[in-house]
Amino acid sequence: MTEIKRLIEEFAADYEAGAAVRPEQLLARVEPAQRQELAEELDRYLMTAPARRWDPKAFEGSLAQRAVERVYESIEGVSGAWPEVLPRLRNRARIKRAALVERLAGALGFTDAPRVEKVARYYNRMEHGLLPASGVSRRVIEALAAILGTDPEQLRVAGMRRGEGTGPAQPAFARTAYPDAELIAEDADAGEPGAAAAPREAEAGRDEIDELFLGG
Amino acid sequence: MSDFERLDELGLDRLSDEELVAYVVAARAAGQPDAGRRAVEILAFRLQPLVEARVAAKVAPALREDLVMTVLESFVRSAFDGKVIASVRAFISTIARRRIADHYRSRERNPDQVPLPGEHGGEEDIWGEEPATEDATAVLEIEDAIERVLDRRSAKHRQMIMLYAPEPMGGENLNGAEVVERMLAEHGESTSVDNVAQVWRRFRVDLEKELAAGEDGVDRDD
Repeated sequence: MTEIKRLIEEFAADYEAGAAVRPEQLLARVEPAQRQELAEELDRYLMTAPARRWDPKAFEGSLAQRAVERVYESIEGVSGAWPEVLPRLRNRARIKRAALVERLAGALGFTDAPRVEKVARYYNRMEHGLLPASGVSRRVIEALAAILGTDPEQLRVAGMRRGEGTGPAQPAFARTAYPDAELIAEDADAGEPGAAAAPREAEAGRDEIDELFLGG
Repeated sequence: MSDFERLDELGLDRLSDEELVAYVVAARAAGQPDAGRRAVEILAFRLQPLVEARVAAKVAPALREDLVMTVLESFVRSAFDGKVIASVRAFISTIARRRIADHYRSRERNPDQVPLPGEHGGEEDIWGEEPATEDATAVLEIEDAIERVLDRRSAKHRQMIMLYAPEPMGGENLNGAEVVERMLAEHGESTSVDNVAQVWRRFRVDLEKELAAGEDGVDRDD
């Protein structure tokens, strides 16, 4: 039996027994000259392998879980595709969330800890689909786009874009692609997903940061 | 009355990948999208090793996680939107292939980008620098079948399909209302959301038939 065949059989035994599998670790076990061949064999196996047995514990904290969460935050939230787009851009720019928040706050003119913390809370809502995009000011969008190395207009549109909703498939098509700000506000008032966590700063004592993230 | 039947984890785990996708679509059509979420989670869990293997074969270690996430997110979005076509594994392989190609194109456009420490731990960390040139046969068959089915459509319907189609198909993955807007703005064609949905459904049915028949028109089940 060749080394590659043996490794594939070993991987298959673990995979089919429901054990944890790490394809990249398997590929690292052969010399560089053999890796392409092993990768092709592994791909061939995984394309036809029995379905991986569901393991809720292994799913916890996995990339699969994070991916599903991000997409559903987009679908169910009020921030369009920001829950998918913002973490991706942040990862590509290699900026940790805390560093991004600090730079964003600095770009908006806030450097003291309480106000940086307040910017952090708003940014967190953006990443989790809890902040209506229509309320976020152009100044915030432009500062964020500059930090993330993207186009401000594309970033704005990503926040406004709605999916096809979580309702029945066909009626959901009737949703508008770019709803008016008033409609988004109405959605929030009507208790759409995410509305419960909507900031209450709008009611009283609104400061400059609230205006930047809620005032549009 | 919807005849959608909610399944528990055990029941879902017994379904094939394609049946899970159908379950997600049925749950949404029945107004129970929350029921579909567990099915999506099981699908993503099943598919993660396949995506990791594909990405690990072509991309440096420090960049793999982000790319795997991007592929899985794209798949989950397509599953939720009911836009997964044909074999689930071939479909997600196509997403992975496109995302890896995007990754290399992005690096070509930014040649000054300096790899971070650990991105290239050494020459041995990465091999097959070029995007994949060989893909699973199933992936190529799907792409060929899509072309053949599109060729039989009118120009207007081709435009609608490619605006609505998911990214792995080379489409723009717009929703129905966005397709209507774009058809009017860019092609001067008036259509409705219902019509977009109908054109897409017919396309999917024909594509499934085409895939079942194969290029030579012989039904593989025979």
